[in-house]
Amino acid sequence: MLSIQEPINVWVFFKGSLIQPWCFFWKARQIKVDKVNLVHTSKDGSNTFYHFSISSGGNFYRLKFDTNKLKWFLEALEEE
Amino acid sequence: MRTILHIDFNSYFATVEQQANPRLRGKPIGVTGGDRMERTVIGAASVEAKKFGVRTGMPIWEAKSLCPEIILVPGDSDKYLETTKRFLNILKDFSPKVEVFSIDEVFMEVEDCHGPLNLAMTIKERIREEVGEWITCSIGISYNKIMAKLAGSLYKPDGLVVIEDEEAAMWILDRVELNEICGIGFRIKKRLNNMGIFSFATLRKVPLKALLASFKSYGLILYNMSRGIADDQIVPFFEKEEVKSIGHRHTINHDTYDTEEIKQILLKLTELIAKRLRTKKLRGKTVSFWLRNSDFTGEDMQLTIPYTNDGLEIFKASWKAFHKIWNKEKIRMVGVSVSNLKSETPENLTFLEELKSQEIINQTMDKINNKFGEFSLQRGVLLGSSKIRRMPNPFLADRRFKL
Repeated sequence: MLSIQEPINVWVFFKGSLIQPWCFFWKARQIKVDKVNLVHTSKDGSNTFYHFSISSGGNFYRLKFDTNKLKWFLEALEEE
Repeated sequence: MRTILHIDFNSYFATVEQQANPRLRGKPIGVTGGDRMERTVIGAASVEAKKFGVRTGMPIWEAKSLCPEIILVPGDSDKYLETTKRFLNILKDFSPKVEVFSIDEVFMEVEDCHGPLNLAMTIKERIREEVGEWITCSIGISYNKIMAKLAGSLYKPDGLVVIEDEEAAMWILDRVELNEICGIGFRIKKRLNNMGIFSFATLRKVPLKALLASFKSYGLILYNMSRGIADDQIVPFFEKEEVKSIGHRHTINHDTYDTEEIKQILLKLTELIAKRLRTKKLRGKTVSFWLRNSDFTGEDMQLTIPYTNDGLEIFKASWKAFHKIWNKEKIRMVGVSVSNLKSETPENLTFLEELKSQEIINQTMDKINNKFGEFSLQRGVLLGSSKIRRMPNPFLADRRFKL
């Protein structure tokens, strides 16, 4: 698994009280989210981050949402 | 009549990682300590890795020799704690009496439950739907905690076993090893073996008087245990006892006898401990320090100091202990803990100006670090020190869950 920390753009949708990534854009590619496998949070001081472990076409990605800066990052990936 | 369910996740840290990343599913994986891949041990092995003989606590080199294709995954405590929280949220829908035994193990008591099997199946289903389809648990159902835990351990992974009454309990007990019961560890088993007791059937034949003579009050527990009897109460997670000690240890990336490096690590550990004491509004007076040499031998020492929650005071005591016990060998690991804790009360407050200003400095540092992250503001001597990553105590000793 490759750990990176690249800012990305993400399209999300809201389902009930939950936020779900729909697709994201990385290296001039649009990557559609097939399934959100796990969501967890972490903290750095008072700042909360949401981590979305997702699958897309047999690949694995982990997206991070910074609730303080309202920015998305691609933080880990494992591709075929 | 009360019914106790023991719910134990299978290869917890590993299955959570496999849940997050489906590419790891069906493969032998080993979760390691934090972001470190060297000089650490397997924190959890997946079901697939266990088939090769890989076990929790095993050094990486040994795991790799048993299973060369093992995939090492850095542990992520946030991920596991969040999953546990989600799971507890499900359980509280069924009963308020849920005891968190460890990060991946709970007891739950239900009253007048006519269909514990259906309840267990519902819990399994909800875990699959709300926590993750790859995460499985084994559930043991019985009339007390010890027997529920034994039932839960009989069939893994994804098991469901019921021990209905004392008659069934004794039938099972006669077919398991002494140390398969929670409460009989290596030492007690050895002592029982030395008395010629190798099974629960034999243990039942020993008069209570003889057990009391050998094991004092624990003799009664053993006497009852062999009959499947236990008077064990569920301690709900919101009533969990306050902590008895707070500590940290750190395995250094390399063996060292550089006292400056050890001093930095020790100060960092003591600052972490002090911050946790302050967060919990506690002070401690017994400082325990221990070290492990490169050959895995070790020494430890305890010192008593006036009640404190100040990192520097704890550091001074551990530094003193370090110099007393260190035999100039290369060091692999150091650890500190503070016990003999009491709550911070107005009577602890000082009128000495110099101590008061130290308290104000600590409070201000805590505020800044709470906002910007651990060690954002730190002592100058710690600048350039190696990063110390906190991993949760698997028994969640100082954690109360707020759901």
